[in-house]
Amino acid sequence: MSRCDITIEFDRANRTYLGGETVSGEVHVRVNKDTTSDGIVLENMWKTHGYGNPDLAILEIQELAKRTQLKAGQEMSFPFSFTAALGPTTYHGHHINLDHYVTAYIDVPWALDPKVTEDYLLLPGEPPPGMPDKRDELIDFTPEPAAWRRTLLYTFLGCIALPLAPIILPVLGVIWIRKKMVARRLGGIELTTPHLLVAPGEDWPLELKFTPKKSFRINGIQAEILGREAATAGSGTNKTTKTHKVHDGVDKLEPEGQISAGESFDRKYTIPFPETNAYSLEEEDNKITWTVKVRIDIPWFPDWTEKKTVQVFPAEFFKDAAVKTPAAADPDPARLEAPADNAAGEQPVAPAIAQDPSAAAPGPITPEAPPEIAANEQPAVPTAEPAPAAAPPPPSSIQSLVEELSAAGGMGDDRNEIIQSWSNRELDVVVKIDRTSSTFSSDADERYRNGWTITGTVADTEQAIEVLVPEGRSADDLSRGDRWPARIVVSKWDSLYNRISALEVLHRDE
Amino acid sequence: MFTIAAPTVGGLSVVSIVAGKIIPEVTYTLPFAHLNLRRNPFGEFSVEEWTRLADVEVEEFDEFLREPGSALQFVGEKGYGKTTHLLAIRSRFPDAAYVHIPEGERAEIPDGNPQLIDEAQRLTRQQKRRAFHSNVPLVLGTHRDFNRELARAGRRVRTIAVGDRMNSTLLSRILNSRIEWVRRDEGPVPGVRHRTAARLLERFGPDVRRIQYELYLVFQDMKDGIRDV
Repeated sequence: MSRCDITIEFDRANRTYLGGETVSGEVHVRVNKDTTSDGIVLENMWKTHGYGNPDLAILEIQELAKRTQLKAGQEMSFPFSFTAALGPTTYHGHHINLDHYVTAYIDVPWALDPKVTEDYLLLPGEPPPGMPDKRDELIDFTPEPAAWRRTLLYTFLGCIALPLAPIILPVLGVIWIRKKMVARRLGGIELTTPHLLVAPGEDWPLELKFTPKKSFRINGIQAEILGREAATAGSGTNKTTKTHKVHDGVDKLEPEGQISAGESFDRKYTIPFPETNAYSLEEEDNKITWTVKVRIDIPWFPDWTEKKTVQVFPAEFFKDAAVKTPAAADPDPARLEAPADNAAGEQPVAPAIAQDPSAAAPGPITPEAPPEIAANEQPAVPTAEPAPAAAPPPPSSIQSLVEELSAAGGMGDDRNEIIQSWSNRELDVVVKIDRTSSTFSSDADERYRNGWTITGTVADTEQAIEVLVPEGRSADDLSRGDRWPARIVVSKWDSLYNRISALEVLHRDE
Repeated sequence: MFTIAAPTVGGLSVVSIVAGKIIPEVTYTLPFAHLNLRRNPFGEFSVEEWTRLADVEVEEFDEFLREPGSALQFVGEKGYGKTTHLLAIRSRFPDAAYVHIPEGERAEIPDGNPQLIDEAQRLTRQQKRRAFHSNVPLVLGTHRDFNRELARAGRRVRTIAVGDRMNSTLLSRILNSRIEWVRRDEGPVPGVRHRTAARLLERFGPDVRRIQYELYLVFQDMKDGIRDV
């Protein structure tokens, strides 16, 4: 029998707390043998467990009782309370697990301390104080090495590399030649990723800009999101690192097609970041990293690729998180295979990619089949809209526009002309929603720049449409499959996705 | 934005509501509660836990290591249990000093009685000379056999090939004691059968680290409840 039996009881049966909440409970001690105690202590800590060497941090130590003589048969209870850490949160992965613990022990001089440890779950709550407002810079978890250390390291690496120069130089040469070849064809490529700090499930914006020097075909442009656990066990020659992919998904940004020389390619995309609780972790032997690799796949030619490291944090840590993903039970087909849809608000730049008619449609967002129109069906009249201050001209029916577009066949120019001819009237439309995302575009009209982009189809047709909603208008309660009535003005024909681009009408009092 | 937590069987279903949207459920449960364990028993343990769990017979060396000028070396490949033996010896001698020399680094050799040096093949020439020629009882964990050099320094040497000390009974005991160590509550926990231990030993030799990784994967995927493997 041990000297003492210790039990820890949490105030919540499910032992689940949000970051910043108060964790409380009681430590019960039953003394089995007379014991001198130098104190009864409570520790709050987190620790990793799994394949890798444990990383840990003791967050708080509390003295529950001072030095005393404990008598056999004595029973005591000590209430405890502390503020839950803001992170890292509980994570149960493959090679890495991270849990939070409360340990209570009796400090017995010159003997093994009676001790008990209980785990509890920590979910994201308040953001940590160091969380920046901006999203464009990674948070440095590791202290910057001193300049002299860096110099020493580079010198050391240089010395090691010197004898290997006959092998290293040709390899570097091949890489340089490949880069030159790509640059000669594509020109300078600018990949802009304004969000390096990402919340799971949110739309991740990126912009790809270049002016090709030559005309050439591409197999497509894609973005690969890769999340990886890396756990290291042992040390020295016994050191082994195992990795495990927590996510590996490819989003197709552009289909197969032709790139024309001299035509500016300037496209903005938003790709859906996966739902995950594998938040970025940078501990000594346990790491969770996320990267996004953008690839321009050129047949019979070196591909252009660029990799960006991003950090994933709970959505709760971002003030501006806009996670618009439908529940997992209803997965978005557009998300599974392909196209992160083209970001809203693109200005009518002539598309640089002429889509191969034999190639597959860019994805379920842009159906190729002609729209089936219920001839007599009129869209529902919007009821959510406040009445305009001055009576605008009576709205026209979008059905006629859809019919005209359908009749125009596959010619993008014809459709663009049709759109232009309709662009001076207000239209009532009911959109069957496919997705709602925050607008990412510096080109959009200022009033729409920080608003929402609603993508879907004109209800009861297969005509794709995207509508920019101005900043300040709520799109919170909209989800996939909803029918959303709106009054719009069409702005352009998006030939890449075969869809109508439109702006929600702003009345004078809005 | 807020998060609500609704209890489910054995854990929690967490539903985040972001700007009015329900985002997919993530089920949180206490780790390995479905196996009545606190964690995967075959992951890496802390040095403290490792010492507590060391299941090696080292009493036989007590007397030898009390004699000045004695040197005991545990020779074997990685994962064979050299460190486990050294840590078990350390726990038996209150004045013992243990050091592990990391790869590519130098380490200070602390004073102690006995002196325990892990990865002794990484000692510098000077450190070797000083340690081997002193009279303090010495315990080495090493990939390289120092028998001749130690004898030349006037040491009485015992060499133990750690791989030879492993058998299926011992292995099964080591593996099951790890499971018992991470037990969550009263009641059944999974176990490793003697037959399985013998098969693992046959397949991987005495590389306990490799065997543990094999079992790590088995326990990681043991979603169907408690069973023996």
